[in-house]
Amino acid sequence: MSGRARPASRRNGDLVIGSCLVLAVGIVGLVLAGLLDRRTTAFSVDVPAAAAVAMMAPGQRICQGPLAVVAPFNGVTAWMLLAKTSRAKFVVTARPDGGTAPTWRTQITPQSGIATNTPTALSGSFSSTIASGQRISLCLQSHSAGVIDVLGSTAVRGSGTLRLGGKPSQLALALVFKAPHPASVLALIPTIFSRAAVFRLPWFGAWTFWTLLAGVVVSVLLVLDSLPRAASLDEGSEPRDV
Amino acid sequence: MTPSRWARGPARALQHPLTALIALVGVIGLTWALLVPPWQSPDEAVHFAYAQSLAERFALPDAKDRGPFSTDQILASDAVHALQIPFYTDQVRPDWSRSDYQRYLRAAATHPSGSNGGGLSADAANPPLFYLFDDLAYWGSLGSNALERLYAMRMWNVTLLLSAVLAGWLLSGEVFGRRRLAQLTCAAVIGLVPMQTFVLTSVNPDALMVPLWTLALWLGARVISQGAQTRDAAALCSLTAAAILTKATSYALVPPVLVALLIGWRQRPPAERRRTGQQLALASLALFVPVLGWVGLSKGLGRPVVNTIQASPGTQGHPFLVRQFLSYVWQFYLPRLPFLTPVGTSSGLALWDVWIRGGWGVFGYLEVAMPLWIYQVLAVVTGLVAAAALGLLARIRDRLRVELLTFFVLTLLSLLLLLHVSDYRSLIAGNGPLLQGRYLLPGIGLFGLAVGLATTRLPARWRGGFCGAVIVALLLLQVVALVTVAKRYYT
Repeated sequence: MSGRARPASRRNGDLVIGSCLVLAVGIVGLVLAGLLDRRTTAFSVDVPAAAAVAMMAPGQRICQGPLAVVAPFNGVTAWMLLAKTSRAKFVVTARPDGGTAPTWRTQITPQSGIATNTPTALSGSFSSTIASGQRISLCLQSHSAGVIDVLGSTAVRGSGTLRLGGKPSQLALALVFKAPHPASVLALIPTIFSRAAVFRLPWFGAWTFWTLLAGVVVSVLLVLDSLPRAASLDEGSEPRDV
Repeated sequence: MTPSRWARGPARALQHPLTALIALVGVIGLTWALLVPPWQSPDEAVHFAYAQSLAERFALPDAKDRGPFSTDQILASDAVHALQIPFYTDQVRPDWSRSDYQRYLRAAATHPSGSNGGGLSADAANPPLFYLFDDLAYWGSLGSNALERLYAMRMWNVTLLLSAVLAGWLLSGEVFGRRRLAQLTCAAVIGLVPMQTFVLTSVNPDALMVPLWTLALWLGARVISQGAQTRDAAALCSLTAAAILTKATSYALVPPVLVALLIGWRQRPPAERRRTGQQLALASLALFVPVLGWVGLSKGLGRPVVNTIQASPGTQGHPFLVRQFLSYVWQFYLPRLPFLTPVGTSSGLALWDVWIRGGWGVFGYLEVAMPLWIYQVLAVVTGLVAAAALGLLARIRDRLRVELLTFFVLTLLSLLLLLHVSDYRSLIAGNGPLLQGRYLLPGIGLFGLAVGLATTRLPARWRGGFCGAVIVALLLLQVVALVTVAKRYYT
């Protein structure tokens, strides 16, 4: 190998190219991770599982509605307080608000280990997708052994209210609904930007975050482009040696 | 001036590494400020309430006959489920619809009161400087509801993040000389650690503490290396006072600042020391007058000077025992030895959970975390940086460098001592652990210096690549952090 040093301009060019390559590899990795990460939530009624709103004996049935379906779903999760030995099983039926016959039906059971006195999620999937833009009523019937506490809190807008003993209450179950086709995080970026722009300033929109993303790209390139200049300035200066 | 020369000016400025870094950190800071949902930052609701109390009532939040939050804030908080999102992560997942937002705007248009809050809260004993700073945005915002003011304040706080970056550039320039790559590396670390960008763009007094501490580190280094010039000493004392008037943790700055002034004074020739001493005494008034003024005002108003730690109701506190305190410190950083009584409630090593995870980035109310392997890599990186810095610093023999090192080490130890004493006192009072990773952010300038030091020690042909690698790695970490936050709240 020749003892001559490579020209400064070539070293500096290599520097920028090298940094960009590393960045590109990192971005590819993030894109892959974004494609593989699938989000399953369609929507929730935004009621926390803060307290027991119903104590359900075997065979007992409670209903909640009308709740607004803001996105299509085919699965539902509710929360209960279970003992380790509980054999919890609930049948969930749903029907359009005002209808009489259940149109959709599923069974919900614990999906993972049970921790006593800790809210446990029970989930199940319907055989078909329930379309958005309608209002439905949801009923739970216990096929469990023993009395089980079903969790929820005060009803909020769009959650519907729980009917207890045939009478409407101010309470609601904590419910989360599952999307029929989980979307990747990458595919959800436009949705994320749209949602993040709400409850900010009135004139904000998804465009705000697209603009910021473009700003990041431009400024990253500016920083990487400044590295050769910084290296050149260092070569020409007499720095203090620590 | 010809048009081509005129066009070269701004373009040339953009090529400067500091300008480019400021632009990058500014855009990323704005992204954090706008992406994080309302009040999903530690204690942001209480800090906003404090700022609103000052802005609307011109009064500190110490009223005993009212709640801490105004109707304006409560309305906005309920609209965005602010109090439920952190604690019911699985169930409360708002879809952030425009119709809900319009409904909130109609309710906010009735002008709910912004001045009927200002009651006592956990952070009511904080000094007011940060809140007054943020009130500039509160008053200046064109919005008329709590949400718009909150985001105006967050966007305003991006200036604090940029100030911290500039302070890091100046600090590393003072220590290493005009070495752009080392300065860029140091400033990039200060500007791009995810916890830094998250906290400094929130409504939180830690946001002002970090740039003040970093500037204090810079000025302390200047006082030492340039023989305690009066102007530098006065500025250092003023900054220290400002930091104390931001948060009581900054009392930890006083010992190292006094040591820096002493060292700087000793740099002077003996013939000048008397006059210099008089000038420094005068300069120190910039520290003691504001602080004593605040102490006097607090006592006059019947307010605590600092947040006090009291035994939780129903428990009997325990006395401060030095041996137990040392045992607590050991157990914070190292595995518990069999003969040591457990102190603290953490099941794992607090160093990992609090300083590593919490220092690099855990978001929301500390319930939004990046993938575990990220923190494991960051722990290794942190360890390598610390080991490399210790190895390099152990070889320092030059007197000036030893004095600088003394100042920096004393600053770090003073901060850690105050934090650990507070944490230990909280534990023995039955209140549980107090420490969070963001409390270490005032010392981030030292971490930046350590990475900058590593840059200076590399062969010249590697420095540019190393600096580029650090920036790219931090940028990718930023993307991971932002995506983590976005997934948590918006999917």
